[in-house]
Amino acid sequence: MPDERRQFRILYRDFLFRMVDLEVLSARGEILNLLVQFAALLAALSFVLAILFVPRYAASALSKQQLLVAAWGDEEFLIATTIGVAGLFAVMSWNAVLPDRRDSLVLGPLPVRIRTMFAAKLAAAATALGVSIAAVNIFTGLSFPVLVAQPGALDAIRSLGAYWVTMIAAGLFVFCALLALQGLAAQLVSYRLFLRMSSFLQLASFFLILGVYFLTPPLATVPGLTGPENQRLLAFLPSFWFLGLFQELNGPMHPVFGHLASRALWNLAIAFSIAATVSGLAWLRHLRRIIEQPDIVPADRSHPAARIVTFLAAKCLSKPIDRAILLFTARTIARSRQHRLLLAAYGGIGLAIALAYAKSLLYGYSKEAWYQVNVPLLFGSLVLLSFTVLGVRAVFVLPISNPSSWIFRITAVYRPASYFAAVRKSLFGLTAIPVWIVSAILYFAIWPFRPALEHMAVLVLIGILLVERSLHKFRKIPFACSYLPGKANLKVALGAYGILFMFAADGGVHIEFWALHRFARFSVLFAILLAAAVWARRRTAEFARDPYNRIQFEDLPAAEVFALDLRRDGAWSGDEAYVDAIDPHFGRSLGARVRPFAIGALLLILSGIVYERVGEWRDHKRFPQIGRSFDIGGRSLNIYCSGEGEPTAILESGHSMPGFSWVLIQREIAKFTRACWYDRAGSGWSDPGPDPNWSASIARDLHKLLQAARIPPPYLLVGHSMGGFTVRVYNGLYPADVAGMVLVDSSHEDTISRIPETTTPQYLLDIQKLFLEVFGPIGLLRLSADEPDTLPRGLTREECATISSLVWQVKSQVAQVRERPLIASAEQARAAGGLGTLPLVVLTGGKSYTNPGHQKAWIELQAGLSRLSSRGRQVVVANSGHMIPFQAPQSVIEAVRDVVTEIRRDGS
Amino acid sequence: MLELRGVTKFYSGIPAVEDVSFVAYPGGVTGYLGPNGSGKSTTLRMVAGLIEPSEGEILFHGEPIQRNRIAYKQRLGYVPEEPHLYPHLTGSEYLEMVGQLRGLPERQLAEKTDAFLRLLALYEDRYVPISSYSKGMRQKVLLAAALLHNPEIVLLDEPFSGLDVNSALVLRNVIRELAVRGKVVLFSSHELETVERVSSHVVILHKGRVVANDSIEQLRVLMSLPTLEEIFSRLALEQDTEAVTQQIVQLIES
Repeated sequence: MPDERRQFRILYRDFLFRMVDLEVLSARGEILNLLVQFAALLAALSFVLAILFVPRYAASALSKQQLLVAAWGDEEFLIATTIGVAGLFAVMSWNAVLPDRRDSLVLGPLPVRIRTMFAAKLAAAATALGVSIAAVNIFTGLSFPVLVAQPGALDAIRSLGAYWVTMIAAGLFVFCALLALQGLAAQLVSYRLFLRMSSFLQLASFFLILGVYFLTPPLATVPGLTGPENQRLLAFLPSFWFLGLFQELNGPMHPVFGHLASRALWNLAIAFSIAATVSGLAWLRHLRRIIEQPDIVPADRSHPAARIVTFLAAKCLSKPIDRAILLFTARTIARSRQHRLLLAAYGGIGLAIALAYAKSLLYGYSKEAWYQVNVPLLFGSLVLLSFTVLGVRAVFVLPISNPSSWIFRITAVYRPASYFAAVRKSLFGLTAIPVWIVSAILYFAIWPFRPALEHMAVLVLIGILLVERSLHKFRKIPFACSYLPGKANLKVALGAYGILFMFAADGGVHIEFWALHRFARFSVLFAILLAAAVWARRRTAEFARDPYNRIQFEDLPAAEVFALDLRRDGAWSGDEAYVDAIDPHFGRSLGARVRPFAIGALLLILSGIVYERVGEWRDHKRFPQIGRSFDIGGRSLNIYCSGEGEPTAILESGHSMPGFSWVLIQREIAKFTRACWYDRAGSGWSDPGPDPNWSASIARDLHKLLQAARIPPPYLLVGHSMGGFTVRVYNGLYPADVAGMVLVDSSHEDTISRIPETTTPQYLLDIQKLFLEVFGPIGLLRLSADEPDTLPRGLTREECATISSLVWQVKSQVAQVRERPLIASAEQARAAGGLGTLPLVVLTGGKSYTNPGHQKAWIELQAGLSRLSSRGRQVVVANSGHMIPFQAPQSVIEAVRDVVTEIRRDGS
Repeated sequence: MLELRGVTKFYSGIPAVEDVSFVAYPGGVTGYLGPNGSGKSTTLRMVAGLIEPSEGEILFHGEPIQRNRIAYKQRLGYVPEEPHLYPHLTGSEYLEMVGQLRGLPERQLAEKTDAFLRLLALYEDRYVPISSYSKGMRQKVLLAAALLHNPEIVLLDEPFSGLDVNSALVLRNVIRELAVRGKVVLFSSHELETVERVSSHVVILHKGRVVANDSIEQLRVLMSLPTLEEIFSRLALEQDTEAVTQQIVQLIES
């Protein structure tokens, strides 16, 4: 009688290596290498998390109790990660515990008891699951529990034990739950229906695991766990049940964990019982029945999807070769579990990334609502498109029944270009086109027509780009090319590409988001993408037409490695020797390759120049000069005055703002005294000025302007932000002219040095100026110009548009750079000294800083400014930030009125 | 006319087929015989254009087949030894795909596919995946796929393998009929009786070399042996079958 224990050991070893469907990843690959790579990836993740947690906890300034409460979020995250890994393992080992046809046929005739086979499968599953859980917790499991333990060695040991018990229980729960799902399906429906349902259940479970992992809300706080509105949600989130278990085992900090822990244990017990029962029943009842059934269900000719695809192929593709390749590709993906699983892996990664972005939309972190153009939804469609195209393209190289590909060789009665074209159409038809259709339905339903149309245009071009580039130098018929012996396809480098993709896609989506706000920007983006798509299409077409091209059926080493063929095997025949050294571009000069890009760049520049010129002309028509220009010695400055009476209020705007930004305030001040705003050199309607142009230079220019415009003193100087330095310097240079001052959230020389941009090195400023002078005339600044989303109080839309247009002029941008570094003006203001007995009001924004500590310090500094004069006083404008002239203009008007009254009283 | 001239194929420096030369004429059936491993399938694969000969050339109507592979493959029908078919496709889908790959018009293809499936008793299982087909059913699919486009050259490698008696009889008659209609038919088989009945000409391979290349009648006269089986045994058999039989029985009982 055969030794049952020996049989168990043999079967256990075999089942263990077959636990995960690694044939998916490598037709002839090294299974052990792949298993080790998987485990290493999980361990690497654990290591990274441990590296992140340890310093954060070790260096935290929180008290121990506060730290332990703050740690709940991280604990829940680690549990969720373990659940996710165990869940993905369960998906990849789908049906591995249940009996299958191969086992039945091979082991059935042998003297092996069913209970031995079942025990071996269970043991293999438990081992593989244990290894996965251990790998993903190997570093965090040794460090994190110690960080969140109460002081004391025994507490640390208890915490370690609680951590590992929790993780094992959580992983076991999700594995048993999915096994129970499979087992119940196998018991409740016929075997044939079960086979059909099984792959869909597998995919649905896969996406469910990813969805729950990425969309779980941050509820691991006292309000989150105890809030009545969250209780229903918590009932469905296993990561929180097991958080409760961990807390209970580790010494609970809140009564809420009690019922979460019992939920965890009860659900674990239920899942385990069901899984054990249905699996055992499946083995007892189905083993013999399985042999009589085919593993693959007969194709359902009446299946709507199959008929639709066949119909569409017949209608849309006129060439038989196109129909053959499309139908073969679609049927293989639809019917091959291996290919679907690999495709689902790509889809899962894409879905995970999209969900991570969607979280901000779902939980209200995004500035825009879902029915407005927003980054998460833009990103979602881009990711869906990219991963669909790249996933199917990646799956193309996974062979199916490779020996059967002889039929493609025998029937190769067309030129290779026809096959390449057919593959291209298949990839479009199976990936890009369905995504475009689904996206169009969604975006036209939820967004306004124009941005939806523009986004669809971008999506179409990116789809074309992706398909063409992914098929460049692809010489194979999908699924009909072999691999090199021993090659494993778990491309760890994919991880690196994935990270790069994230950065590129994030940047690209933000560019698109920015472009969708103005048609001019969108036009540029569209033109660039269109050029790229056309270029990609031409490259692919050139490659396909190459007379050296052949269809590739064998995966070959790099072309640089050429067999000498000393054994006369004749292996490198004309049909199969791919020689990438025969490059379609071989013989093309560098000039010929660069020419298309140079022409494209030139066209773009010319368009930009035209755009800028037309824009300037339109601005000139739409925004005629307000005020008058006066020559101050070789250049003119613009000034606008109205009103009657003394003193004359001179309004000095902040850095980057034109004089016209005072329009509302000037209009009101002019009702009780003469008031003027003016444009500094280079700003608004004034000519460019000297370089550099700091406060002293500005003050001298102002003096010359007031003389040229015959505006006599006394002056009441009003300075906002950096304008505060200028008016103080003016007083230092021309004290007899100044009768009073109002500083409006003025910059302060003691804080300016702490803001990095104010101490910019000169060479960087020179580079900025060069950039502006080169790219400004070709329209780049005009393209970047933004109008504010909300109008400042009291200003009309036209006035806002005027201010925006003046700010974004090239000369204004250059003028701003010439006024830097701001620290230079700060030192000039410091050197200008005090204000003596001048009437002075210092307006301070009550919300200039969001940090309460910084705001307090700011008010104190501003109070110091009020002490520049013995008659100075500070007014905190509570409902305003730094932009008091826009946010609380009335406070400026009142302050000026008060100082005018004081000055007139002094004069009388 | 299909001609092989000095065709040789090396694998790892060892000749699988060495200096094979013969002619297969249209209107006749050429049987290609030899023990296992003698190089029959290798030769047929070279003639089908699936692998390249290390030396020698293969000509069709006097022109090397490499000169215009596309045109050659358009006229070629091939049934391989191993019935490798895509298991996830149904019989109907597979034939439809082959017909589309060969550029057959859709309507004609549909009619021909249906007709072949009916005639080969596969019509009832036409929507069943090939993975569920028996060996004989797969062989029939291969046969239909090879003949769908009315080829001029028909290469059959062990075509009777797995066929039931009825289907084998039908195939035998089909082969004869193809030859009558002027096709070049080259087929290899282990069934000497069938070869003897169907072929007008035989080529016998032994260890990669041609040891006989003549009409059956001529061989009988030359070797003074009445049947093809005896001729084959004299020229190509490698084992003392009786001695081997005894040894196997002893091994089982040991």
